[in-house]
Amino acid sequence: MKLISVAAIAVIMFAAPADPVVWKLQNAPAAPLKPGARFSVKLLAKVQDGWHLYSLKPMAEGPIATRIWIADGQPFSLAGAVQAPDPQIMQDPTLGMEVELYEGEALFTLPVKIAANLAPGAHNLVVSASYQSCNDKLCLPPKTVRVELPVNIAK
Amino acid sequence: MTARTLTAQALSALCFSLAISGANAQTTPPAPPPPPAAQPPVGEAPPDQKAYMDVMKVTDPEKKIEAFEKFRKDFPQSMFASGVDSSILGTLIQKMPDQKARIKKAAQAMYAASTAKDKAASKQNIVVTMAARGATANRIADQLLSGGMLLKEAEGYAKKAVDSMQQSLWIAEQREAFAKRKQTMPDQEELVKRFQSARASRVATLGQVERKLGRTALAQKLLEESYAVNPTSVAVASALGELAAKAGDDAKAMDYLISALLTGNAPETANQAFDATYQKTHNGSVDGVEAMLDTEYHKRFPNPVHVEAYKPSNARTDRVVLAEVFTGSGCPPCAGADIAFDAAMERYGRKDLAVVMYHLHIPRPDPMTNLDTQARAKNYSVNAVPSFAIDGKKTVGGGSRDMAPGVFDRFKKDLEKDLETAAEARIKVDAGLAGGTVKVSAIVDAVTSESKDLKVQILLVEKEIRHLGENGVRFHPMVVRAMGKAEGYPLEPKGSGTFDAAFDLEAVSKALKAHLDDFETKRGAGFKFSVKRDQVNRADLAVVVFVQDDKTKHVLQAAYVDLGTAPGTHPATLAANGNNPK
Repeated sequence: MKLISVAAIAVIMFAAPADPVVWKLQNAPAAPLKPGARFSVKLLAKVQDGWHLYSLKPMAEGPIATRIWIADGQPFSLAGAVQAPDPQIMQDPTLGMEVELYEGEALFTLPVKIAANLAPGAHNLVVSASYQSCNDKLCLPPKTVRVELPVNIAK
Repeated sequence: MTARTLTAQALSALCFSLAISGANAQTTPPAPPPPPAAQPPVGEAPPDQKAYMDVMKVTDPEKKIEAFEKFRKDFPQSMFASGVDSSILGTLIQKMPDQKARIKKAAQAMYAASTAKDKAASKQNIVVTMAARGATANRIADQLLSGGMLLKEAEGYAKKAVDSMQQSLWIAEQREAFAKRKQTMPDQEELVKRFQSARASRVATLGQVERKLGRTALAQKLLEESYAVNPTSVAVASALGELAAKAGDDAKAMDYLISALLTGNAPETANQAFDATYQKTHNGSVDGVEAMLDTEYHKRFPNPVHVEAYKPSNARTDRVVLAEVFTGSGCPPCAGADIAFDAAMERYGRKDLAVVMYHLHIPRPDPMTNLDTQARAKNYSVNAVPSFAIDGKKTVGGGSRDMAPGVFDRFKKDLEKDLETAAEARIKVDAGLAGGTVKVSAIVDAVTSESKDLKVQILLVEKEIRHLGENGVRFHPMVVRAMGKAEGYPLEPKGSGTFDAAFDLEAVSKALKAHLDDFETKRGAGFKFSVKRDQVNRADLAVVVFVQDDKTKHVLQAAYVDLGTAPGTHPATLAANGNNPK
């Protein structure tokens, strides 16, 4: 049994995580919204212990910044800037410079505009987020995830 | 010296680079590695990002400052807005260095904004914070220092930055922040260590300013104080080396400068100081500089994995074990894996173990990457580096240099078990270099597997490339330069056959260069490799052939053939099979 436990721990330690950052959209509008209306959604990034998410702000000679956007081809678009919490400013020992990043949880606010000609009914808002990260044992390639939130449009 | 210079261009370019490829829903399994990072479609970028990118394109400094001000007004909530003050200050310093009064005013405004931010934050937080003004003061000092101007003011800001670092306050803020982020709290000892490291980097800024002000003794004291806490700081090692060089203490200068250079991130000034000191101590010549750095590298970074030569037991079979390693020269935790496999190659001969290294652009561009290594990563569903497979059994994870013994221990057991497992195929390889082409003919038989997914792979590897990557690894062994066929040569179940490959070395180099050129273009934002490793050293080649079940990745047998040390020769080309020493 002990051997199995040790093996299981080793697998956990050295398995590449599918997503060290789990993204979730919150604040679905409670009531149906009108076409052309604006509303806000919250995008929560939960970062696993030991990993980090770089801030949205490009840094001179820094690592790849995180990006959050609403992809074209849907009846929603960003109505303004993505609001981000203040990042941590830490010394990156590899780069030898200060970098801005998030650990733990970070909550972003996205102002969203609904297309004026959108038909009534249920629609999915799809938010894209791209990020790249390392921990002390692994580096992940840049990755884009898409998270969805149902939005009801009134007649 | 170009080859040793900081890949500043690369890192700068990363600022605006991001990846959108390989997009997948949050709920889907991990995707294969995406192609090189690229900008998101312009139409899809958030409006503030688009506007910010437009501001960055403005070349006239006055118009640029106006555009920054307008941006701040239009997008006060934008993440980019917080950097506007610093960008305006930077524009003034770089483009309008004569306007000292305006620069001073911009710095004051930047500091005042951060003070206001601290005050607002202090109303919401439990502790009274000085975090924003401390970080801002340090940034202003750094910017003035970079511009080599208003050094008295820079000194004032640098002192404020250091003074704002009060241990009890800093730790209280950290505790509050960790709780807010619902993050596991480090213990007190770790927090103190982090505080000391953060403070040391501020002390380093002050030291650099004092150095520019000509207060050498004070600068030396501050920089040494910082270095004692952060001995891996490239900037501080460089500064101390440059100070020693100026003072004529060549031995001390070389000591610091070599430390800086061997990190792979030394600034150009350190490179210049090193060159000058080296020439001064070598009769004006740069001969032997790389050899000296090689020696210093081995001396300063001895392999922490201590191995003895492998002594085969009576159970040793005719199997040649294959280790496939996916790595990146800009990947910090790949160092641990790279070094562990260096040790493996020391313990086992090539008749026991064939190692191949597939380089990838993860997380940063790696000039030893090529289309074949990327295809191989996709074939193996590699979703992180380092990843490695012993006879197809894949695992992931490395670590820092001092974690290499742990990595070695992880694969050693599998490797030695395989050495005592009978080969499931026989491979005989005839390979040689003639007329600029490596020709390989591999005869495969005695295959025991009935799998329908068998493939023969033929790889051209360069036995060692000297390239100082951002992870500090200087020597890269068994770098895969090309594959006969990226998808492999099909082999019938229990089949046999002769498989030929020809590697025209000029064409291989052209393909390597084409990939790196293409990567630069796709990466955008003016990204350029500081050096492209596209030239194949024809005197340092080997061929690796193996039979693999393409579905399970299980390797039936491998063979390694050294092509010798001189071009135009036709060295011994019989593979290891069947003649393994016992």
